[in-house]
Amino acid sequence: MPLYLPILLTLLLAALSPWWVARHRASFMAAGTLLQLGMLAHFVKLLAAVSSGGPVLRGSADNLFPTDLIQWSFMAGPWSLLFAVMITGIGLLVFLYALGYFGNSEKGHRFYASLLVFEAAMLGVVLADHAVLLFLFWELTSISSFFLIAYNHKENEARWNALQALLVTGIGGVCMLAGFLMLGNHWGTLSFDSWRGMALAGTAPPLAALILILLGAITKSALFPFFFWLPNAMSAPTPVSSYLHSATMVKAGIFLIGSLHPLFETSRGIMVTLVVLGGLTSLTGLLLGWVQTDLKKILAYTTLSILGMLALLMGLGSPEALKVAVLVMIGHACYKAGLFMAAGAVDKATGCRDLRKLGGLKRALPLLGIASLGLALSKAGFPPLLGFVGKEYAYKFGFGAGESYALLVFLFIINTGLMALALRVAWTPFRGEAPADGPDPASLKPLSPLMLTGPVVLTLAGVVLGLLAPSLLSPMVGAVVSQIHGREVVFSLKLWHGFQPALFLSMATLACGWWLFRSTRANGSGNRATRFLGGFEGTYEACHRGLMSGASSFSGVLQNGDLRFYLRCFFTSVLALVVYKWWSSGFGWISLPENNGPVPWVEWLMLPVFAVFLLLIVTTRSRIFALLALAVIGLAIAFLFARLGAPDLALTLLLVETFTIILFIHMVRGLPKIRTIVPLRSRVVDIGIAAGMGVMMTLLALKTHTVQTHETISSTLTEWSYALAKGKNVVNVILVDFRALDTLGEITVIALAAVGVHMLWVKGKPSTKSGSDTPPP
Amino acid sequence: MNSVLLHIAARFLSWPLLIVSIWILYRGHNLPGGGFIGGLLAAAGFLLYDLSGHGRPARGFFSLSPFFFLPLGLGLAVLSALPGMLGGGTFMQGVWLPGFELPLLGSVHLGTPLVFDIGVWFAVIGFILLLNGTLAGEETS
Repeated sequence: MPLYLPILLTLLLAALSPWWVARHRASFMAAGTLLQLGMLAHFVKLLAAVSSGGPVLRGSADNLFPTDLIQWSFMAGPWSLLFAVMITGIGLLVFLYALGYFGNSEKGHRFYASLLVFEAAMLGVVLADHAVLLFLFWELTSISSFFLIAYNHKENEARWNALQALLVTGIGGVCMLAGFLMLGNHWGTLSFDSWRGMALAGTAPPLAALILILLGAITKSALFPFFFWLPNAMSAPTPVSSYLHSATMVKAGIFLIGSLHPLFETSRGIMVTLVVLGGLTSLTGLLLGWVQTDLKKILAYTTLSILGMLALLMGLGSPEALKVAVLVMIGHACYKAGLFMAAGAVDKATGCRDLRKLGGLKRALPLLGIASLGLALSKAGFPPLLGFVGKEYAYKFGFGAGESYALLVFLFIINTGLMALALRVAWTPFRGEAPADGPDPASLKPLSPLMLTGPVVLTLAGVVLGLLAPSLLSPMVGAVVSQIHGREVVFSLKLWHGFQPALFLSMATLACGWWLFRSTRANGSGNRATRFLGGFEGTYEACHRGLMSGASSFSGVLQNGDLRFYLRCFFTSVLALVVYKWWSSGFGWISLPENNGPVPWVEWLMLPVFAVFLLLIVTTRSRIFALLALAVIGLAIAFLFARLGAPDLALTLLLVETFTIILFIHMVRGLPKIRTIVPLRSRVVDIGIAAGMGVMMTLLALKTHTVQTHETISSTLTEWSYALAKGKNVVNVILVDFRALDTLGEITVIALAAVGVHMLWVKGKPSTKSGSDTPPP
Repeated sequence: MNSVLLHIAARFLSWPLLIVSIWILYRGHNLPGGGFIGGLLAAAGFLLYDLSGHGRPARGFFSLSPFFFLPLGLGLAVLSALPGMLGGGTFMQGVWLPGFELPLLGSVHLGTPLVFDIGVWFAVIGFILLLNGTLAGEETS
């Protein structure tokens, strides 16, 4: 089975989904579940095979694109497959959750298309081996994320947030592409695998390229200082937050750093940057999350914290650090996606996400309460859950990192804070006291069982993976770390390490986290730190507004609606460019063409015709008369064409002149007579420009007659015409055969132009409501 | 416009214009003509018909909307580009049926470029009809 088949199948399902789900929801659900279950099993199998030393899989269609600049080539190392398993596994749960979340309502019908496109794109990102192919999928995830964040598209805030996420990740993506292309230029290949090989062989990539690629990664993973888009993306429906903005898409940046780790490792500066940005992101997430009262926002900020920690561990870069990163990432994908789903379920049942108003739901939603508690405990690192494995190794790594205890202190603070926040989300709504002004636990909306599947399955996954970590995860983590690190590394994970300093620190974390949770409450109001950190978003907004107002004042000057101004600009610039070119090429003088013989009197006759009717055009006050005079000139030109042996041209011009008149007459019907409203001085300027253009065009026409830089192709085309295209009329053969693609483009353009005119003219009444791109108040 | 002369002239001119237009379209491969010129001529026939006050305005003889002609033309043009690829060639490579003799027309060569030209013919008709209908302020949809 080709490696890219799952991507294509997912895209197919996405294309079918809007009408399928509307017509037959049950069979759509079955098909989606089967597909994702199949993909999950497939990738788990591949991952197991690769982990136990199997060969790295490749899949490509070599001749799909006729250029090396993009190739349809895929590769599945352990790191990619780990992501693929997370994407399909959590994808399946989110898919089911979304079916419950939207229920039968029509609102959900558009949803699955974007969600499945995202899933396919994300699989593409992690499986692509060619840099430009990866970039394409990368952008596709940003675009589908845009549509998903703005899913409630009638809300101004959702649209603004979606645009923000798209712009921030999009700008990063473009930087990343520039970095890819620089590297491709430098090394002569765009394959990730070859790049890793080059870097491991000791060739250092250009630093600028690395910085650009890193920019792509940190914008995508919402690292400092671009963190602000992620919490804002919470205006998406909860399935999206759970899937894109916690489990998968935001980890794409981490994935990229892991994929190109050997490259980043060649520069110490880059690694230090990663550590610093990662640490700052972690602390930012914690500080901003601390004051939040919205369940989803809290989860978003803790996601930021974890993303920062992952970046920091990637930046430290030793096999031990990478091992911790992989473990933390797996754990996070499980519990965070589950917590999001649980928060969404609470929101759905009570209609409220405010921590201050929730409480006492334990009896009403027992299963959800237990599942969220299990997830929160995994997050807190309670033995023997999966989170415990990650945290235990993190502390062990901290103790082993040398004499500096800075890392340990940092990890302790983050872990403690995150635990308190996790308890706020998972404990307070269920086991906390029910506030008086909160929703009544007795009158909740019923929840679809589909919405409980995700949290429950992920809780169980946390338990099972934690207990089986030594046997199940060891080879896989070893293989993944070996790939990131680029050298063979062997691990055996243990759940129980005996009574070591790390264990005591773990216990201290649990105790402190509990104490912090009990003794503090979020009040929703900001403080100095949150205001300072909000400044980064303010900077983004200022840039956005500046760009917008700059653009509008720019077009206010250039596109001011004064047609005379446009013509003046156009003609003077043409004049200036041509004169400059002429001057710079040495003002070659014009020699009149020779051997043309005497001009027949019929053609001389056209000269007074042109003169008289041109004069009439510029002096008449009647628009219709001017039009007719213009048409006469057109007819005279058509006559010249016919005389000079271009019957096709003459025929076309004749017909076009006719239609121009007809269409123009419709237009000028309602216009008043021509009046002189321009002062004399500017008329003089206009006359000067017109005369200059006339002289220039005449000189150019004469010049082209004598200049021949390339061999003419007309004789070759005439030769080919009948032999290759079975046509004796060369003009027509060029139009419909030799250059048919141009003609296709042209008829597309005229069709669009006609539709455009139609829209402007008939439907172009000013709309009552227009979308605004200003931030919500 | 209510002019008896125009009315009668249109009756006698519209159909011949359409026929001439098809003839011009067909002969374009070997003699002056082709889809663009033919399309303009056909559109002229249609407009003449409308101007004389027949039937519903801006729709031509067949009461067809320009929004029928435009996609039809573009679709035919794109379709004509595909057979070349099926034969293992490139996009838009010409594919020809074997030539045969017909009375009146003489030796006939049919191929994808002719289909393409027919696409151009339809697109041009749609273009003119839509522009004219729009600018003349008529309901076209």
